[in-house]
Amino acid sequence: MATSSDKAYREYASYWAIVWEQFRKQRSSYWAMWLIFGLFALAIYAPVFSSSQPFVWRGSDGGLSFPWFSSLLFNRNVFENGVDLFFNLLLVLSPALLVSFLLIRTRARSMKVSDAARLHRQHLLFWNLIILAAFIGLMLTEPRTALPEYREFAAAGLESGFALFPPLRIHYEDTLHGVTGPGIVHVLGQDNAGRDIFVRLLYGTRVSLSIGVIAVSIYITIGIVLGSIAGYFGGRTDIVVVRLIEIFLCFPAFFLILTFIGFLDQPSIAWVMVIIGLIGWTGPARLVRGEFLRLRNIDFVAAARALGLSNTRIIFRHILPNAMGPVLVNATFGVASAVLIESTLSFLGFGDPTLPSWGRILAFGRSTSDTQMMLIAGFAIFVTVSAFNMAGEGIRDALDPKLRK
Amino acid sequence: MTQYILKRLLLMVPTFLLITLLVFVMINLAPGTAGQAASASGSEQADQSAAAREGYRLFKEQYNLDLPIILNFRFLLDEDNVMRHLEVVARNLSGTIPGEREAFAVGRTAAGVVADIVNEPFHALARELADPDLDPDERAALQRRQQEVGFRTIDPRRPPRPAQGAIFDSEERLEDWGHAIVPELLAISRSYVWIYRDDVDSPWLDGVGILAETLGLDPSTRSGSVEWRGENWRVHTTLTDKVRFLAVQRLSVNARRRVLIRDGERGTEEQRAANRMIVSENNRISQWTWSLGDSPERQQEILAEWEGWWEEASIRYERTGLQTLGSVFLDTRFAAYWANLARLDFGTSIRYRRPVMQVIGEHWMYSVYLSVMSLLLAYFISVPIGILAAVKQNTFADRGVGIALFVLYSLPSFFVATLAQTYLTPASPLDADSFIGKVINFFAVFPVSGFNSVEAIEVTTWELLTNTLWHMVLPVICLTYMSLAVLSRYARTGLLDVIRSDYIRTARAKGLSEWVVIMKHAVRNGMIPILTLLGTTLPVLIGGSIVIEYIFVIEGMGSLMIGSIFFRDYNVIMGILLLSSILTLVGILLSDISYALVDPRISFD
Repeated sequence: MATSSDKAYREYASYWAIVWEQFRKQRSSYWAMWLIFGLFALAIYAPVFSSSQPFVWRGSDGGLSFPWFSSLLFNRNVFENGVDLFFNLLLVLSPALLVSFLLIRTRARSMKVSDAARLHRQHLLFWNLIILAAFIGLMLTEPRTALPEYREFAAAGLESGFALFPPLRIHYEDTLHGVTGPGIVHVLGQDNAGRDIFVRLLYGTRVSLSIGVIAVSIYITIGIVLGSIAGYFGGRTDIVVVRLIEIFLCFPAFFLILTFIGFLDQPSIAWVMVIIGLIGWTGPARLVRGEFLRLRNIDFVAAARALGLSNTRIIFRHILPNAMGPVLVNATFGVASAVLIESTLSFLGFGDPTLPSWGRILAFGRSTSDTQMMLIAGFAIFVTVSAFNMAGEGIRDALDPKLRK
Repeated sequence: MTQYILKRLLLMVPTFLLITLLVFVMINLAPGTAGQAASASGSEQADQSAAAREGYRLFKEQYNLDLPIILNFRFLLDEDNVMRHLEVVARNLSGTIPGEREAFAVGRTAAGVVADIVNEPFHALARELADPDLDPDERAALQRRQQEVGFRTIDPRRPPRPAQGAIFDSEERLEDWGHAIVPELLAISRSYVWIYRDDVDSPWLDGVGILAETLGLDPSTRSGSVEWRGENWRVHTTLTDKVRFLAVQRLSVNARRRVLIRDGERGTEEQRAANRMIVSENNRISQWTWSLGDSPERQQEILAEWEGWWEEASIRYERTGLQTLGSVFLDTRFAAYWANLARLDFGTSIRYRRPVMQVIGEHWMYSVYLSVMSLLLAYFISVPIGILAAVKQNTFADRGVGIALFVLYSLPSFFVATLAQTYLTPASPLDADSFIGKVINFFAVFPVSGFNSVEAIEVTTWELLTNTLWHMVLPVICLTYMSLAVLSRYARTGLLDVIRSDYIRTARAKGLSEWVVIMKHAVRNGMIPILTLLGTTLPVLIGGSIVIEYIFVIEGMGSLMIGSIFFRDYNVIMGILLLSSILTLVGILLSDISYALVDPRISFD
């Protein structure tokens, strides 16, 4: 039951609500955010648009089967690497995620702001754990069952058979030299090896976005932990961390990344993520340290200390939420630069050779003088990078109290 | 001010030490032995081809990879340590030697033969006991003695063949120990003598004689040997032969001396003379081996050669206590690394077979040309743009410039470079009939790649200069546009901060013209941040741009870095990394100092 005091709670606008309002006023950044969401949707739902497996298939024996669904997670013959599996997992779980999110939002409406925030936090944690556990389980198992070539059956026009395919009946590694059947359309043509360029670009979204998000999460986490420890405790801890930051700053980042890549026998995408993550942490660490130095002597922290709260609680629940603004800006720009670094690495030939990375597609177009392919791949990188940069600028301006409208 | 600079300089020392330490850790953590892939052999073939093996050994020696990492305790190694590893390798030797084959041909195992030898006292007592007319007391005493002697069983199975990894590890270890085990190897190679029928005066004379009769063999065949060691019988079967063979072979490698002049160095006259002597000694030493199954006489000859060598060389292997202690700390990779760094010696490049500094020296000028041109261009363009955007803040011009710079900033440089190389060179694929094709093809006159295309030696400086500049147009543009966006932004915000300040209002109030207000009063202070940025570009100057140099095939530092990574040329990688980190340190210092020099408001006290 909503009383007047509840209403007062509802009308109180939190800091992040104000920031959100400011952000929405900047049209270009706001649309860049939607573009990013769109890119994520493309990455997650890529198999819906293109897959070599039919949604529904009735063979000559008359039994119905659903090869597309089982190919997403339960058959490594189609999607082999972790990036694809992760996005497929999100694809499978996305309806449940949506329903659960809507339910929680309805419930949170009638709650106090702080309770609602806690509920959202728990909800987020719950789903994170579920996804993580499922992903680890998937990576540990490796189910493989032989797949019939549905496409060829369908192309042969079996009378007794029935198949419902995705709009594009192509997997990104399929080399279809001269194979043209009903439903096989190469939207942007094929590359020299006979692979479909459009489908590879589509799945390349997965590579770029996962590199950007995971590498940045790694270094933001390291940066937050080290920066907050240094800023909060000061003294010797601070000196050690600052020295460490100084040392890492002395190495040109791209050289260092290339050096680490040089140590690897077979650079996989996971290693690229880890390496970028291990090298980029100095930026957020400096930001967080600065914010902590500013905030640790402010009254609310003194009050928290006087209440006898533990250091961990003060750091993570009282100071850190106030220090997150600059980190968020840094992270958004960081995703853009991580996408750029990954595509540069794959352009130079240091990327994961099994993945359809945009940089690789560009390099392939360059080596085969396929200008159309080059242009499209470069444009995809440009759009993604500028969307993140634009969103980052929007967040930065929205966080700046001097620029409030 | 001087105090501040001194303080900063002193702070640089620990930072630099930590950086070098980090690089050292990185070299030694690098998975797989550095350069293994690139050194003529691969790790798989390393134990097959002798030449490849030797190349790999020299490589390790040159890069100090044969030394222990932090502490060197090799002076503690004794014969047993060496023996253990030699035996592991010997078990893997497939060649059978004649005696072995014969002994097994009669249907007895080597173990059985050895058991007979070892248990000969037991068997002798048993033969006595077999006499039916024996006195009971005597019989009891004999039985007691027989119990005391005991019957020893010898495992008839051959010892299992060691795993490939263990063999490789043992070989590697024996190789890495190098000079430290030369006396031990010499001792092993001469310590096991054959038991001949005439010169056997050991208690096993009878045993060996009986063995020979039973088998119908000449005991002088190399079917095995027996040696008394303290309280235990140590039985050497054919394995011993192989161990001795390996010991001599190892000796002929480990006793070689390090050459004084490395690849790509010249050295003085004296050094060269000494080097020649060492090389000739190494060559002689490498001949002194025998092959499995060579006659004992030949083996004795070679051992005699070694004895002769040892008389001269043993003085080199004698160490005082202090020297031993020193070697614990100084004869390590860690110490060698620092010693090399102190001489600015980053080792030798595997790819070029020359010192790293020399290789870097050949490449860095290209990067400097490129970077200096691009930097000058960037400053010349971005400062006016920044000023314009700041003066006309929030106008159409400001927004337009902002958007254009934003787009430039988000364009991947490898994409732009690839496009420029495709469309702005004579081989442009654009249709020459369309309007856009005509316009772009008009500019498609630039060379595709390279630093210059001057083939002839006799060109004038002017020709060389123009040719190089012509080649640099596209790379410099591609390198410039990205820093343009960053620099203009700095210039704009720097000027905006100043324009709002009071003294500018005062200048305007005095009635100065807008031009003078901006150019004379505002710009001088507003450009301080962008000026201090110059210091931090120092490493970029040398480091160059990896992508641009890769695409336009300019042999600068970026190309060197990429090539070294493909070749696993760790010394070059580490050299570049160390050099650029030093430059960054200096650059940060310079930019701080210049900040203080330009802006008197800043004090560091």
